[in-house]
Amino acid sequence: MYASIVGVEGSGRTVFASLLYAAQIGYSQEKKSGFRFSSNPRTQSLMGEGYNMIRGGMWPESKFSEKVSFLLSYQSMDVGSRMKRMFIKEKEKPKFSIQFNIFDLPDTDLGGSRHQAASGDGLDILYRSDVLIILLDSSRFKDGKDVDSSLGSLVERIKRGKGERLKPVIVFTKWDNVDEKGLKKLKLSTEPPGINDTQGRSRYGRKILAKFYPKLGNIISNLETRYIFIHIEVEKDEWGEKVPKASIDIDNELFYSYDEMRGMLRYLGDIGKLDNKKGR
Amino acid sequence: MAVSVMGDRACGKTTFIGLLYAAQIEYTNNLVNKEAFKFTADPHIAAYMGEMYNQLRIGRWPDATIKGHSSKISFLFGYKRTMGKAAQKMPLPSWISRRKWAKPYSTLQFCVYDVAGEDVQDIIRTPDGYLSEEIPDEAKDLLESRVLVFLIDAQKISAKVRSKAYMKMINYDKEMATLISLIASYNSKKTDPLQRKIYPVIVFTKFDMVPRSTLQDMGLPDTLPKVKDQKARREYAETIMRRFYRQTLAYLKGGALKGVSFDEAAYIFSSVNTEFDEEQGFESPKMKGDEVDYSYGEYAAFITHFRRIANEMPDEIKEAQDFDTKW
Repeated sequence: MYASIVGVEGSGRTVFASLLYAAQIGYSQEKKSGFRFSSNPRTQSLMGEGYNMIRGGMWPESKFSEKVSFLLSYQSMDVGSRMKRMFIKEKEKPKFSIQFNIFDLPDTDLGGSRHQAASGDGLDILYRSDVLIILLDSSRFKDGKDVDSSLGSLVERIKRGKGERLKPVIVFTKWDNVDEKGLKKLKLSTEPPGINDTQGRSRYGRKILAKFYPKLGNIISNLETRYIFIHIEVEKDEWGEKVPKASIDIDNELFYSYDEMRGMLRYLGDIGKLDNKKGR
Repeated sequence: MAVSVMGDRACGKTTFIGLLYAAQIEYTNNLVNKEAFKFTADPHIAAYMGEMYNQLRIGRWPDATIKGHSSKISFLFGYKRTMGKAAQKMPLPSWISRRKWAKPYSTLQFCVYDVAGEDVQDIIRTPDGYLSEEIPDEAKDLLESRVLVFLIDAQKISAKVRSKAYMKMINYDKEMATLISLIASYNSKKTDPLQRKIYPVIVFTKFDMVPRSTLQDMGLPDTLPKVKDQKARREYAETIMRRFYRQTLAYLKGGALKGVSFDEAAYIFSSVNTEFDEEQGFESPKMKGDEVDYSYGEYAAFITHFRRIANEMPDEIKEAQDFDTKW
């Protein structure tokens, strides 16, 4: 199963990737998650560096010009009784993997050949995506229409091949800096519905898309879509610059929306499980 | 079977080797172990290790000269073969062990590497990564190792976020994770599942230097769980790993996704009791009789741990013959 992350410049891809890496580490260390991840050494080095920079109170540098690919794997714990689990061999436990790729999409028309030329290779994987994670900068809703056409065209193209099997995940990045005026116009509070309130979140997210990303919202309207709201808490450093806030909390040493990230990882696991059962 | 000992600069490799040498001597000479364990090294390496050991025995820290040493530090462990899992402690009858075909010893060839972050980056930055012909032989040996001993300088554990020490620690964590990812990628190409099984050993060096407050913050007692209580030791060590070396721990688990198992990590805590040496003006190794006062139990556990690995992994015939000829 393939999952792709797409976002235009400034949408927070580097921070998102670093926080996703942090969440992967956190989730893999939860005893009952059955979750593991791996990547090629270059990607590990790149993502590990971004993660360490945030831990050190710095913003990670954007270095995703090269191909970034990593593997998430979930091992289902639901294999029967405790006794059965004891006797089942490691390799026989139901597992499935998701290959992730991060794409750098230029802020231009993505519908035609210009897209191919601008984004380089690996597009075949993008078009085969089962899950498409779209990053939207929630601090700049007013500029949403500038990228709406491009993103809409991209999703339309992927949807042509995948049909209703395509599962988009809309990630609103920089939620700590959300465009409050924009939300006010829609009569939405800055606090989205809780992570378990899937329907409430869908209504909330769809409203934002309808107003600021109408083409994208329209194209995904008949697809099962999840909405994620990401933020990272900041504080001022000695020079008055806003930097990621550090924590010495043992389980979660960064102040970021871990629950949102974990919710996304669990959702991906659920999709993978279904996909596995269908034998795809 | 090849064993690589890796550690960052100044992580305590030299002292570790000196103490391991001391433990090897004590372990071999212990009548309980009889002929069960032997070790050997080329003469110049044996002399070098002996020198490190002697420095410790006179209450001095051995010189940190592994990098500058003209040749690779390597030595051989040999474990007397047993008759299978049911009779692990039963040595082979002498009429069998005397035969060449019985290969009486399972062997482990240890090599010590000075691995800094830039060395790992050099490999992954080459256009073909680990497939590149530009990779030095030493790095290839490392990638081929079946046992990886990672030395973690426990003195560098820092809970003070954003401090220089903290950044150094988390960057070392990242480099270890990159190395594990590299080794997993390299070994994933092998078809034999046995060749895709890697045994990691994490050695916390200078463990006596970890501030009590750091352990208390994690809810850990000052005293280590007993060597025999493997479960408690693993939990103790993984609490530290989850807090300070979480990338390494996550990548050890993740190796399985590439078909390379790193799952059975063992943990060793090395420490030397020290006392203030007024002549030199710093803490020096404390003596216990005419031997250095160190965590022998941990080193004995280290040697014992490798017995199981040596028994599990079939030797290359050449290795066994090699060992025979060295005796």
